[in-house]
Amino acid sequence: MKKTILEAKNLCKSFANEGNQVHILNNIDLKLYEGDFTVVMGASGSGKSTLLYNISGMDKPSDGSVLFDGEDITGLSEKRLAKLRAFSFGFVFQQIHLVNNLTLMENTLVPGYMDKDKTKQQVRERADILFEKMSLTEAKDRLPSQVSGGEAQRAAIARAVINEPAILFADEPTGALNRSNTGKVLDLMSMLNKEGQSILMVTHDIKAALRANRLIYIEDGKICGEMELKPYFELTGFDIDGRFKAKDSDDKNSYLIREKDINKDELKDREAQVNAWLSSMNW
Amino acid sequence: MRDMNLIIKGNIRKNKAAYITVFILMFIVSVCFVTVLSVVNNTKKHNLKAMEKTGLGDMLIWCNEYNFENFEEAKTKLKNKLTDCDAISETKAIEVIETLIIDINGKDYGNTVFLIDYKSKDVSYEIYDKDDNLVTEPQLDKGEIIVPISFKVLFDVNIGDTFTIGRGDDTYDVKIAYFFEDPYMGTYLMGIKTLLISDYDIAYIKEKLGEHAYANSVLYSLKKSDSKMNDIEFEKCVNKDTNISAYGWISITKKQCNTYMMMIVNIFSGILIGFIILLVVIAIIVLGHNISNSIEKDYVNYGIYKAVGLTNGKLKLSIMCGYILTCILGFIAGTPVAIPIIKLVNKILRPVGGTYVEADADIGVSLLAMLLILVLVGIYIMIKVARISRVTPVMALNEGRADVHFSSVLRLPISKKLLNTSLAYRQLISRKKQYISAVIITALLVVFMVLINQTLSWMSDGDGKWMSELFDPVSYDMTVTGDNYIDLEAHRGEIDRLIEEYSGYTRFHAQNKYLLLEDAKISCLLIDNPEAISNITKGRTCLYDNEVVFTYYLANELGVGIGDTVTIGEYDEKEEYIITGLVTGGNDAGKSFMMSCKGYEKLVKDASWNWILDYYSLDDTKAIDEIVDLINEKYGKYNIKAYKEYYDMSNDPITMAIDGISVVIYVLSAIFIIITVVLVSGKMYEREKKDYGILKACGFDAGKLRSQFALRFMFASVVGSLFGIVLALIFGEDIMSMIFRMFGVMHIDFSFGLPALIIPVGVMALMFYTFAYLVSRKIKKVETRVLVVE
Repeated sequence: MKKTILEAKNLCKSFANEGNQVHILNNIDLKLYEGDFTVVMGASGSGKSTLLYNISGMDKPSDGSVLFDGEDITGLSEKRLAKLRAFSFGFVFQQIHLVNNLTLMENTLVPGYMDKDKTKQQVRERADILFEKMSLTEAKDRLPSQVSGGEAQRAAIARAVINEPAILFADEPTGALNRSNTGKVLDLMSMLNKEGQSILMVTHDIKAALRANRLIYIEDGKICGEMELKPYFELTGFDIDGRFKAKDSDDKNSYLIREKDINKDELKDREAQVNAWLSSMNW
Repeated sequence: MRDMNLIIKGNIRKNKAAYITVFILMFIVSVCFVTVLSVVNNTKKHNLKAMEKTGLGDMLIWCNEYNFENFEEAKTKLKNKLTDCDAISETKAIEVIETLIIDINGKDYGNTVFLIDYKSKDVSYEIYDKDDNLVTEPQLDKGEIIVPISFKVLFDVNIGDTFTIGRGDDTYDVKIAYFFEDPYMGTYLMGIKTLLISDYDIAYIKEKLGEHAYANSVLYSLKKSDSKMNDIEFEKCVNKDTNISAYGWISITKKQCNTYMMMIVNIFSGILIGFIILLVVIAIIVLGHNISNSIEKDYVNYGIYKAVGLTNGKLKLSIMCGYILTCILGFIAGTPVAIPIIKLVNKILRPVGGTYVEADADIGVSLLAMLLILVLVGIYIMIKVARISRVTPVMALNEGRADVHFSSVLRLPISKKLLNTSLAYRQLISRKKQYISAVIITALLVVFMVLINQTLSWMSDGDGKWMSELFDPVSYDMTVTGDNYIDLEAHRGEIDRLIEEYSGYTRFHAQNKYLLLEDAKISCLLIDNPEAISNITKGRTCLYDNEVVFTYYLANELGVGIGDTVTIGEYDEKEEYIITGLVTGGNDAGKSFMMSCKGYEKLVKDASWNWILDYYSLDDTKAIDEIVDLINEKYGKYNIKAYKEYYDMSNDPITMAIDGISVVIYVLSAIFIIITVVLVSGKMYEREKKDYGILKACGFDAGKLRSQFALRFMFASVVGSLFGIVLALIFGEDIMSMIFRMFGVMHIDFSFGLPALIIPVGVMALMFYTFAYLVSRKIKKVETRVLVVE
């Protein structure tokens, strides 16, 4: 029995547009479970990003509730929401949003430093481990303008998980990246999920969706379907010596799992399964 | 031309806030400039006109019966001497009574006053009632008197109040019936005053006060109308031809009087004009900021304009015209607002300056000043808009944006303990350019704040001892004065012993006397103990009988220095003296010198010293109040009185005016800080909106982000303040010397105290932090949704 970590009940979001009410989300009921990599898919304008932002407290729903730790977060004050964002939720966006006058490492340390229960040393150690896993050690002292998009987005992920949030929310995290960087970022997400990180990701990229163990399809602001998959990290070739180090990797310093290390047949089957499901959803 | 109009309108529409800011700044500058320039010019013009009206001429000499065996004969002789002088066209004489004010508003006072018949045909003064209305035919009853308007602040008296004149036990009570305008000696700064009284009272006082009311004759001479000599040349020429000053106990020229009369207005307008120039500089900096901001905002538009064929020249001209037009409107709007302020300032200055100056706006001079500002603004705008030429249509359409790359030696690591502060600091140093205007503006404002604070702290220090430091070359702690030298001499020994029981002391005697210095009558302090001259900052005191000490001002005026020889005369005697030292001191507008009693005895062989004023410098001043009380209690019956060297500066108009100016400076600084913060933060907000979203997504609440935002301005203000302090330390003394030169004080030891330096830093930091925090309320509205690409 999976533990529910976040639950949305009758979630609605509507906007007034020239006198008419436009409903983006219609009475959505959704539970997120601990350790799940949940991916929300849907066509453009289906309301998937709106769902992510309303469920994560970044936006206020017009109606309904979002329960986290038994508390409805829709009515929380700005201060409480800020605290929630600092310690319980992590965010990764489609565009690379790093503070451009802070280095990659500093971008990651800033939310870490907000945790008063951790010492500076503990935060730094956690950041170092994350940077090592993400192959960012060499770039850590560079400014966002001095690194590639993939490196910057990986730093954004490191920042999002520095405080070990209960849920990592990702809105099309690979949307602005090229193919090579997309793979790296998705590998990183899978790796984090294997470590136990719960993830809710919004995407319209099937390759990204393959990483999920739970897929949700949304259309016109309603959940139309859902499917369960075997966790990605359980695919053959993923788990290497417990540190995500790719077996036979060309890059000896890389700790990232790479798509090419996964069993090709298993991957093919998974893709076919997802495609079939998406077709049934009129994708 | 039509296309230009459209571009100007478009620019104004798009950058409304920037244009409104420029309008407000120029409005403030206009109000201040028109007010100050009008007050100065009106006062100058009015005083000269009023001097002409009195008919007192270009040089006045007071001759006292006390100095002549046969006063009537001497007067005629002197008048004839003057009449025969080639430089003089006419000489007249007015008969006056010289006496003292001995009790006014419950305070002892000992200054000399001259009583003149208010109906005298020889002199004409303007007389006013309590509502400042001109009285054309004043009527005085017995015991009524007309006093200069400065009595209001000098003694806190008004029409209907009474005071006592006379000497010793021979006194006469008079009641104030009117005020009058004395353009020669009416200023608050001049101790000797003229009072107008009825001929009946003059006769009565002569009889009642007897030998305690000396008859004086004021001889006043007019320069020949075709004379090209200035007043000093005229004075020297007359003295050379007639040696007349040697016989008068005071001689004063119209120019000297005007210097005194204009002194207060000149000092304060000097400070204010300096500050207004600073405001203009700040306004120009803000304007530059506005222009670069609006160019950045309109980058695309300029690209489009260029793409459709508009020239760089036209684009630049359109920006310049827009701003110049706004400046002109600000100036025009400010002028009528200045008129009631001029009235108010005149009302405040009237009892200090002593004249009833008109409250018209001096449009001519103000217009000239404004034109000069417009030219400066125009040149500055042309420099600022030069970058438009470098914009190619393609560049502009790409918005000319570049990535942020920065490296700085000032970069410090982000701290966990001081997370907000270190983030604020990082934001500041990574976008240093944005804060340059805030830094420069702070630096300039701090220079003025430091100077005004130091002036105020200097004034409030030591019971207003600054006043004596400023005017007296000697310093002392208390004085003992007797009604006559016999009583004082008889008890001097006992008084000395009484003081000695409490503290060691140095006693000396000093007396001011007008002597002829290079043919001009100059005030000289004769002192029996030249070691007591305390404010010598160059050279040494006049120890020997052939030595004198000059004020910096006088030395400068005569072009002499230490080691030079000067000729000093009294009556028909002349001697040469060597200048041994230079002192600070503004006595007699700085035109004074000092010599020892021995030195005077060299000039006047039979000089006698009947001291009625003893000066004491105490080794320990703790018990001074007790000593003063004891002397007054014990020797009061002999009319011997002791006074603590004390100036109650709390109601002093100079202190009050400096206080007022400091308030004006702080208020205007606050306005300029608000404007700076609003402008800089507006630009920053647009640029940093995304960063606020990111930090909010990381868990920072609006309060923390606003505090970071405000901290950046605070840091910038601290940097600016430090520059300001350095500037004040380098140039402060020169600036203050320049101002005090108007007092006749050529050299001041203006060492800055820590509070004067620290307070402005704190005030600026607080103002910047508060205003930036208030302005940053927009951050509250930034949602993390700004990061979402829909």
